Amino acid sequence: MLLIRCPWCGDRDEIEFKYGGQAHLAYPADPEALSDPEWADFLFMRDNPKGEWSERWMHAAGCRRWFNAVRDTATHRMIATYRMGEGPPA
Amino acid sequence: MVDVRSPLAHRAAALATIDAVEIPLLTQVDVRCSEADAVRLGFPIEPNTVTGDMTRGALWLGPDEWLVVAPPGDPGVIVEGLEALLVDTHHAVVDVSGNRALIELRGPNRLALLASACSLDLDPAGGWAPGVCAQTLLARAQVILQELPDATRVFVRPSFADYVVDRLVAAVR
Amino acid sequence: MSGRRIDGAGSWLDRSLPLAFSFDGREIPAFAGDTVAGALLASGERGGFVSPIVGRPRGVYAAGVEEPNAFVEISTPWFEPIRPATMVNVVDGLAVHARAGVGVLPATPVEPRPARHVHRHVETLVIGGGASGRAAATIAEGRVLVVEEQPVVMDPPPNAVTLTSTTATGIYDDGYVLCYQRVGGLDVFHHVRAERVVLAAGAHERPLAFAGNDRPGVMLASAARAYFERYGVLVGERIVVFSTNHGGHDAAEALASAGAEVVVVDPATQPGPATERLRAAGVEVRLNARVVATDGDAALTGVTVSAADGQRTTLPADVLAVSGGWNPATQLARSLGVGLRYDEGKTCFVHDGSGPEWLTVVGRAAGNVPASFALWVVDDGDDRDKYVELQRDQTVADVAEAVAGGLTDAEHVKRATYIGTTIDQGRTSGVLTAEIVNRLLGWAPGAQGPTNARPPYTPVPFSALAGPDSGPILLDPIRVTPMDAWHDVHGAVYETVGQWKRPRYFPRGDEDMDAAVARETRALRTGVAVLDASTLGKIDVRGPDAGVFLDQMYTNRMSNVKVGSIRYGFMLGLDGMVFDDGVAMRIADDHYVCTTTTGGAAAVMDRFEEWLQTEWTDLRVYCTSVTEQWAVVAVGGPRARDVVQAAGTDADLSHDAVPFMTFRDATVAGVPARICRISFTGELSYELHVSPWHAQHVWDAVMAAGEPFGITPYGTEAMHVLRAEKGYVIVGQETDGTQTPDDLGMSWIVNTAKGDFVGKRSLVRSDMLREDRKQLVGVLTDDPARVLVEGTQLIADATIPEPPAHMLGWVTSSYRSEALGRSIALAVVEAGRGRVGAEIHAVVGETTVPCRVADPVFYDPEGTRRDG
Repeated sequence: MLLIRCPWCGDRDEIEFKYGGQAHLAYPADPEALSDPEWADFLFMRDNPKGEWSERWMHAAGCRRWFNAVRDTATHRMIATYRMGEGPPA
Repeated sequence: MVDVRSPLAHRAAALATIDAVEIPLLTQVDVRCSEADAVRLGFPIEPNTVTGDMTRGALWLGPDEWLVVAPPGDPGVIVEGLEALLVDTHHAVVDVSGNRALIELRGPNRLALLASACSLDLDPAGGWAPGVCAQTLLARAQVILQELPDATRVFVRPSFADYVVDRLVAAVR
Repeated sequence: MSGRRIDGAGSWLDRSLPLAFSFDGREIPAFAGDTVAGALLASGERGGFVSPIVGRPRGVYAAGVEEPNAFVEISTPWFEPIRPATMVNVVDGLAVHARAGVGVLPATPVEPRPARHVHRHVETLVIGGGASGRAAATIAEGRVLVVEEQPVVMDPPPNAVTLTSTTATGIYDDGYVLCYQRVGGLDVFHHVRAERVVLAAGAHERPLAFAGNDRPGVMLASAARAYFERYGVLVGERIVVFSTNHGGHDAAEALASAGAEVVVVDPATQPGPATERLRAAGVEVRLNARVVATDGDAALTGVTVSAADGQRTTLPADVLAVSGGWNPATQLARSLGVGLRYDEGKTCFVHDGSGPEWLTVVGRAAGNVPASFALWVVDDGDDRDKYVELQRDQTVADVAEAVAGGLTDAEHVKRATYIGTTIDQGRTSGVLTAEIVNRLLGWAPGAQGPTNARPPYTPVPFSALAGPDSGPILLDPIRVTPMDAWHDVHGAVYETVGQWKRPRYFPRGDEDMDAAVARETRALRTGVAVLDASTLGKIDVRGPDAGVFLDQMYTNRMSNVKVGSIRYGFMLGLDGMVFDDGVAMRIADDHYVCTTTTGGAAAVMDRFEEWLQTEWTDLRVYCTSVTEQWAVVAVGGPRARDVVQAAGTDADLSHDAVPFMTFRDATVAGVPARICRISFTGELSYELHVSPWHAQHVWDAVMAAGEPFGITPYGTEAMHVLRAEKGYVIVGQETDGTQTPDDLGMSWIVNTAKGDFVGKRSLVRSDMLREDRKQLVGVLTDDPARVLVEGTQLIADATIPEPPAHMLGWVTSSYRSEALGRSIALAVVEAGRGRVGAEIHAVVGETTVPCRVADPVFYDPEGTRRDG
């Protein structure tokens, strides 16, 4: 059970959160301008690094805010969480 | 004659065994607006805190969302009052009086009872005190907890209210 | 074994409180503070323990959780199928029975021990109440919790809460530790979240593999010492101590001072400081010696010792205390993924310092254990007599056989021999086995360590894990509507929809489901019927951009719905597949209420918020869940208008005033109601959206007003039949996440002219344009009485071809239709719309059932009935 720091509510058990996959993937401005392979790439393909990566979470049982997190996929350690629209802390 | 029923009217005896009562038919209004408007309305800006008192207050639910609670009555009056204060700003004022039941736990062991089903730090040594509130899980039901000087309030969806009562009673069997 | 109680000894005993318990029907005297194992030893009782596989006699071997031999079933005052006798404290009325390593559940279920759960938050959690744990606790700040698996902690730190008889069963991410406490007949599970965790779990003494090492009377040296110091029990009169380290030597000294005649057998070639001390105390120490055999029948009578020159001597002995070194108790840290390194001097594996920064390992658990002579197996004697794993009856020979079979990894050897899969979880056998494998392979000691450890640290009853989340009500929350009590009283048979408990049908008399559903559907088609539709999800959407936003979320246009009107819509996933459906009611220019499926409410709300918070942050829209702010009484059938009218309303219900797919805010039965002309059955229908506080009142008013019309409450089963007659899909029944609107024959609901919406781009991916996609159709069995089972596969020919057979599709819904007087089915079928009228065959077991593909709208295709 991870302890996840909601940028609004503070530390809460993982069970209060909903996972949202890779962060910082913008919805294409004009999906119709994309070829089938380009659209499929946006739709289905995600990074899978060993180590730090950015992902989205939502405090489902709390303030219902979506936010971003940096987690180390090798150690399962949450390194930082930050609000939507903010960059990851240095 | 209109038969008005609160969600836990049939559970008074079970609630009594855990030193709790239902506060029926409370007025509850969900307000969405900007932080600036919230300051103007006297709503709390600090997350998970409450302004007002146990009869009339505003609970922080999110950075642009508050729950206004007021004594039973016509929620429309409260809605209209808030609408008037927020006119010409982007906002939503929604009557949600029926959307949550309210259980008030009153015994000295109430926080220990809640700790049987809730992973929040409900210990005064951890900062839990009158004036704070939190949206969290009580067993597997979403709730809002609000700490009062001599009681703790549990707001829960009416459909989950029987489950929450059963789960709290089971916690001490 | 001829154990006896020594006057005045035993710091854990309360001699003023004599107790007795029943062991296999015999009364055994004890004192408060005793364990079953200690009291048996004090009475000179071997206990009749046997090994589980080959049935060899065994005796008490340890004094804690590492016990591999002495297990009991507890029958009174509570039931537990198996527990180490070393971990059962004697209480009044206790009755236990010896168990050979395997618990037996009673034929009839017994009430489990009651179990509570509690969440705790502390700044520091110390696991282990020994000297190191107490020292760590004393200097810790803030809230400090000490947990100790034994029932006694000497000098508990005053700044800490100390829980005894409490085992940390697992350490998880971010300082989350589960602790299992036994308080008499009550189990308590503590969910501890700690900023800092100190692991001070001590070390477990290791046995040695020599011939005859499983004979009753052979036990760990630390255990022999503990029985004296804790319980005042001297386990034997003539004790041989076979020890590689000063921990074992210290035990020998303690046993000698307690009055036993002690001989120490030490494989070391040179004397150490302990040797001199022991000799000074009058204890004989044989250096450069090994135990090579034991004598005795059911109990030890002698120990054969081999000297360096090979000369053998047999010493009379009733106890052989063994100490082969010490294994730091790192299991809890290892389950987090921390590493071990081999310490040559101590001949053990110690924490390598890795792991999360919030975890500290101290004391013996950190490797602060005695140096030990490197000995695991005594060469003399038959390897089949040298036991490695007592609870699995596995010997050095068994390990050798696994290695000879090609296994080189301790993990594989574990799975081949089951060593370490026992109640003691390999505490006595794990390192020993790894070193035997290393030795057999010619590898250096420590080349590989013991198998990994997983939680729980010690066995935990399922009843304790479940705690209050047990019993039929509490397996999963059950959500009920405000009219639930009425449904109950009126005999509803329920079904679970998501977490909701919904009436499936209301049988009368001895009706079965088919009869009840036929009656309920007939009532709705010919008269009037009423459904509790409160479970529909409802979301209040407000703001100047609400219309623009909903245009993006739904496939069709919601921004041009007129105020007071309602539009049905689909939501798609980004992949173009149908995600949920519902209606949008326009309350004002900047205000809608959207409904969702019963099961999809939370997912739709989450999705609305996701797009608003993460993509379209400039849209001025607020969403509020109002699912339970509105209960819904759905009145349907040709007489629906009459009934709502008769229930009393200030609204003009005429078709012109409230046409199909519009609503009016008015009153019904004296309370505010939103009257919506929506139909999921094809009949004239009014959904009355009212406050949940008034729901029962309105339901009662509708039932009373409908009585002259024969109003019939109906459930979800009739609702499913009625909508299937109309070919209306249920998301999640006709769909499984692989259907587009076009697959469902509903391309009319997709407005491609309005701009982008979620899923739009995917609808023109090449795969979506394939002509052989599965499409929704009706399926009619040639035999009108035949009702296919939902999920039935459909094929082209009457004979089932050899595998792999080509499946054309499957049945998604199937019912007997009262209105049509026959069975009907919906199905998804490859290029199905082109097959309407064609033959198709349903696979039922080894045979097929002939069917015909049909249009999915079976009833009133012209839609003449919805306006009454």
